Amino acid sequence: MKVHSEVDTLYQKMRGANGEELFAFKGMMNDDILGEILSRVEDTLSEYESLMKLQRRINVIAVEILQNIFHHFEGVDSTTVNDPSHNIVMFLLSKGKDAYYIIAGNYVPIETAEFLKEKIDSINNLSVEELKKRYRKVLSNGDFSEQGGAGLGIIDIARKSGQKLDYDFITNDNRNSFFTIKVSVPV
Amino acid sequence: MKDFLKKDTPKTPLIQMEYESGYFLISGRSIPENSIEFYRPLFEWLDEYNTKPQTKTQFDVRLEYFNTSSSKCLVEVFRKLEFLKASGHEVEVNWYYEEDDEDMQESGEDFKEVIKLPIHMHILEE
Repeated sequence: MKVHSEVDTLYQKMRGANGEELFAFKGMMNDDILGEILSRVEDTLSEYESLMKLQRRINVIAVEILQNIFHHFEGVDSTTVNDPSHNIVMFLLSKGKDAYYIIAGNYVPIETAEFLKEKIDSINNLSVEELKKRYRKVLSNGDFSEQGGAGLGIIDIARKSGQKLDYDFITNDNRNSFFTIKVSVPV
Repeated sequence: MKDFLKKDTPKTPLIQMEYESGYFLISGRSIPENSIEFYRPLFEWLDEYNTKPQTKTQFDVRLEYFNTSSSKCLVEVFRKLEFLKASGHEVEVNWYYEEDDEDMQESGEDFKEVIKLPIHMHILEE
């Protein structure tokens, strides 16, 4: 399958590109696998990182990316994500000299990729103070919808990371994009 | 009215809502996949509590970390307590965080800003 070979290439390129690899996964995604990834990330961090607050910060960013942005995203048309040929996720955790890196990617409908791109671009333009204000506004608006949720998730990741969020997407047909997000967490 | 009790799991917090004493506690992690489903029974319990509340309600939050969908649910819990306070009952919230944990401190400050309740911040010494 052509699509998967592109993901394979990307995955190979990402491995080892950001310091020491602590955890890497590429494969199908479901609730059990999501839980497994999170517990492996948690175990790895408790081994490598002595600062509890940093362990928690990275754990919660991993949770937010996998649950909120990817797995449970109820965007414009999420049916294609359930298409088995597009059910592939990659997740990498590595440690460089000054930061931990989380890189995660999965297929999303093109509309969702556009939505995420706009969301991340607008969030990357905000100062620390503006991010705080935006977070509090979305937190208090009483909107339980997943669109609001994904928005809050991205803002939360940006605040906890303290860095600009990096993303990329490969679009190889007119329905889906393989969307990748990279979050750095300074040590 | 019965107490509302839920044991903690690696993904969900301990919840202990005692009717007679009006003492509420949530502690641990809150990262369930579906937070609304997880918190719904608590919302329902609080709605019932609000029909015959104690004079004083104390809510202690000792969370380690939580996902953003849980934070939306916490807002909902606080809204119900705001309603209680607005109807003349005493409500006090205590937010605990570890000394160096800026993320949990910041979260407490976020809620302090958006919720109309006295939220007292407490540092847990390591």
